[in-house]
Amino acid sequence: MNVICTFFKRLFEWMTSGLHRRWRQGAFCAGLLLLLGAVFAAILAVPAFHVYLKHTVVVWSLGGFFALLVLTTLGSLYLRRFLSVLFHGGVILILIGAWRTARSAEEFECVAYGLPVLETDDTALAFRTFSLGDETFRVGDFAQVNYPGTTKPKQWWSDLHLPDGSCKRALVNSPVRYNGWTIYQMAFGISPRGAQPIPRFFVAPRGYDVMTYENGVFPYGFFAFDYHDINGPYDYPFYDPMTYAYVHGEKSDLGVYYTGLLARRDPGVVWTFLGYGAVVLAALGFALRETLR
Amino acid sequence: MTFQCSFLSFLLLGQLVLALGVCAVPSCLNVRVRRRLWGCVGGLGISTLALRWHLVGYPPLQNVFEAFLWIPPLLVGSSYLTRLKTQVDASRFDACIGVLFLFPMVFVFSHASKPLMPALQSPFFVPHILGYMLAYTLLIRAFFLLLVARLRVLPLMAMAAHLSFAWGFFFLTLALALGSIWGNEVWGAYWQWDPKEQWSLATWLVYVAVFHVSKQSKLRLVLLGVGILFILVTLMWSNVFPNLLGALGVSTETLEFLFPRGMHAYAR
Repeated sequence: MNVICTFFKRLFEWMTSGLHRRWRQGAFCAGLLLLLGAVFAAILAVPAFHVYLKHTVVVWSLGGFFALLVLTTLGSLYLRRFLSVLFHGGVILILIGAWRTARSAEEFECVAYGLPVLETDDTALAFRTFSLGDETFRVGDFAQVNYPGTTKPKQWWSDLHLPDGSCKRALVNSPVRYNGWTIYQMAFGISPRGAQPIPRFFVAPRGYDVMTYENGVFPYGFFAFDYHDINGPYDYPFYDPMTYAYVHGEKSDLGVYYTGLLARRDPGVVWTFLGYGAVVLAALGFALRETLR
Repeated sequence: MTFQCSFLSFLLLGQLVLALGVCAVPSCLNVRVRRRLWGCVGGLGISTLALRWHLVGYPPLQNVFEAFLWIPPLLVGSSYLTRLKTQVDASRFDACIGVLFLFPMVFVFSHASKPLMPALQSPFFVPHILGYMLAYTLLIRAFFLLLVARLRVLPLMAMAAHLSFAWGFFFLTLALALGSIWGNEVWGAYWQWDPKEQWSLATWLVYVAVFHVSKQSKLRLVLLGVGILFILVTLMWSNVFPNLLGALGVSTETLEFLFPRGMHAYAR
C-alpha cells in the first residue's frame, strides 16, 4: 500500500511541479482542444455525419475529455483556483449525468386512442390502460384547447388516473410525476383517415424503428443501451395511425383522436442539473471577478 | 427584399436611420449628440418591443424577427453600462452592430405573427431566449471592441471588451442550461441531439476556449471572431437557412435532408 501511495504522491508532485509556470501553456492547449471539440460538435450537427460518428467517436472523445477534466480540476484545486474547480467540477457532473442517463434512463412513448365517433365510452376506456413496471396507469379524458375562433392549439392535456387512485392532469410543459416516473403530454391529434384501435395502450421505446428494436439494441443519447420490453411484444405494423380504423370488423373512415404521452425515468437528471448549477455559478463568478477587478 | 408597410416597420426604419446616423456622425461633433441619437434608438427599440408585445399578446420572442427586436435596446443598455464602468464611449461601434441586425429586420424578415404553440407556454420561454439574445449581443460587441482596442492600442476599450465577454459568457451558459432544463420539462429529455442544440453547445465550447487563452494573446481575438461565426450559424440553421433556400426553389426533400426540422422547427 505504501508503495502505491508513494507512487501516486510522486506522480502528483511531478504533474504539479512548475505548474504555475506551465499553467498558461496548459490552458492554451486546453483552449485549442475545446475549439476542436466545438468544430466536432458542429460537424455532428450535419445530419449526414450524425449516424456514423455519434456512437463511436463521441464516446471515446468524451472519455478522453473526462480524464482531462479530472486532471484540470485537481490542478486547479492545487493552485487554489476555486472558480476553475467549480467550473470543471460542474462539467464533470454534467458528463456523469449524461452517462447515467445513457445507461439507466427508461423511456416509453404511450399513444392512447380515443373512441371512434360511434363507439361507446366503455370501449374507449378499455384502450386506455397501460403498465409501467408493476404500476398501472389509466388515461381519462384528453383534449385540445384552441385559441378562440381558430383551430390553432393553445394547450393539450390528458387526465391520468394514477396507481394510488388519484387523478392528475398532464399538460404540455407541466408533466405528471409519480414514483420516479415522469409522464409528459407530448402530442395530440386526429387521424385524418381513422386509426387502428389497438386493444390496449400502445407503449414503445421512444424513437424506435423496427430494425434496431428487433436487434435488441436501441440507440439513444451518448451510448447505446439494451432495451427491456416491459409490456411484452407488440404488433408494430398496426401502429401507423394513417391506416384505416376497423370498427366492429368494418373498415371505417371515421377520425380517431389520440393523445401522445411519454413516460420517462432518468437517474441522470439530478447529476446533470447539479452540474449546470456549478457551471453557471462559476461563469457568474468569472463575470463578477472581471467587473470588480 | 421588401419593405412591409406598417407602423412597426416605420419604428424599425426609424431605429435603422438613427443607428446609421450614430455611425456617420463625425468625431469632431460633440460626443453628446452621438449619445443622444443612440439613446433615441434605445427609446424607439423599447417602443417597438412594447407595440409588438401588445399586438401579439405574448413576449415577442417566438422567432428570429421577434428575438432580434430585443437587440437594439440591449445594445444601447450595454453601451451605457460600459461607459459607466470603463468611461469608454462605444456607442459608434454598438450602432454599427445594431445596423447589422436592424437591416434584415426592416427588409428581410417577415413580420407575420402566429399564436404561441403549447410547447412555448412556459416560464422558461422568456429567460431562455432573452438570455441568448443578451449573450449574443455582448459576445458580438466583445469581438468588435477588442478589435478596435487592438488596432488603436486602447487599453480601456480592451478592458470593456473583456468585461463584455465575461458577462456574455455568463448569459450564454445560463441560457444553455435553462434551455436544457426546459427541454427536460417539455420534451422529456435535457439533450436530444437536435441540430440547434448541437450548434449551441459548439458555440459555448468556442467561448470556453476563449477563457483558456490569455487576454494578451492574438488568438483570443480570433476565437471571438470564430464565436461570431458559430452564433450566426446557430441562429440561421433552423430558422433562416431553410426559409432562404426554400425561397430559392430548393426542394422540400433536400431541405429536410440538409436541415431536418428538429425540435426548433417552430421558429421557421
